[in-house]
Amino acid sequence: MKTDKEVSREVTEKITKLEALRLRARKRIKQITVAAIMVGFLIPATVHFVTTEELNHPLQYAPPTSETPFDPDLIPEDSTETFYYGDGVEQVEV
Amino acid sequence: MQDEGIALYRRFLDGDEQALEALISLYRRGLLRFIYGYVHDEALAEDLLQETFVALYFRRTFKERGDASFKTYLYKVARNKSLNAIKKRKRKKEVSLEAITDDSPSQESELQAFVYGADAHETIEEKERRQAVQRALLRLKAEYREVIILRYFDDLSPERIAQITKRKTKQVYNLLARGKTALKEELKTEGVGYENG
Repeated sequence: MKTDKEVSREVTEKITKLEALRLRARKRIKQITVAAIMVGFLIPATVHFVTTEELNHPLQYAPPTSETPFDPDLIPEDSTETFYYGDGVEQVEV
Repeated sequence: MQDEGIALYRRFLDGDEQALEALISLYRRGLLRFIYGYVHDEALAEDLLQETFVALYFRRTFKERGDASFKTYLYKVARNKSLNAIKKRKRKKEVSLEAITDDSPSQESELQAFVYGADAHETIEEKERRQAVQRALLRLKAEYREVIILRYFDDLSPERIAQITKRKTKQVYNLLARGKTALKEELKTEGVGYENG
C-alpha cells in the first residue's frame, strides 16, 4: 500500500498537470476570442464596403464619364432611382 | 482535529506540500473506508481519494461556518466523487453486475486491514471478529452502510451525516436504526454476537 508521502506526491503531480492544462485552455480561449472579434467585426465590414458600394451598384455610385458614357438600357425598368447622365451634370429621373 | 484540518487545508491551498501530506495522513483512513463502501474496488477507491484532494484544491468553495465542518465538506466531496464513479461504471458496463455486488474477497487485503483498523497486536480472535464485521458491513444495503460507517467508524453526529448524505436528520436516525438491525442479522450469519461486535 502507498505511503501518505507517495499519495501526497501523486496528488501534487495531478494538481500541477491540471494547472498547466487550465493555463493552456485560458490562453486558447483568449486566442479564440480575438479571432471571433476579427471575424465578427472587421471582416464583415470590409466585405460590406466592397460588395454594396463598388460591385453591385456601379451605376448608382459611379457617375458616367467620357470613357464610360451613360447607357439607359442598363437601367432596370422598374427602377425609381436617380441616375447621372453625361459627366454627372445632368440627371434623369426614371 | 477540525481546527487542525482547516489550518492544514489553508496551508495546502498556499502550496505547502507538507500540509497536504499531513492532511492526507489525518483523513486518509476514514475517507478510504467511506469511498470503498461505495465502490468496492480498492484501486478505484485510492484514485477517488486522490481526486477528492485534487478537487479540494481547485474548488476552494469551503466556507467556515458554524454548521459546516471541514470534515463534513471533505466527506461530501468524496461522496460526490464516489457516486459519479459508480454512475460512470454502470454506463460503461465495464464490470458485470456480479462483480459490482461481489464485495467480500476471500483474503483480507492490505487496504481493508488498514481502513478497518487492523492492529499489529490484535489476537486471532479479534482479527476474526473484525473481519466478520467488515464482511457483514459490505453485505448491507448501501444506504445503511453509508450511515453506519459515518456514525460508528468516523464518529460523526447524525446532523453531520444528514449534511453529507443530503438527507433529513430524522431519515438518518431511521436509517441508523434499520441499519443496526440489518447488521445484527448479518453478524448472526457470521457467527458473531452483536453485543460482542
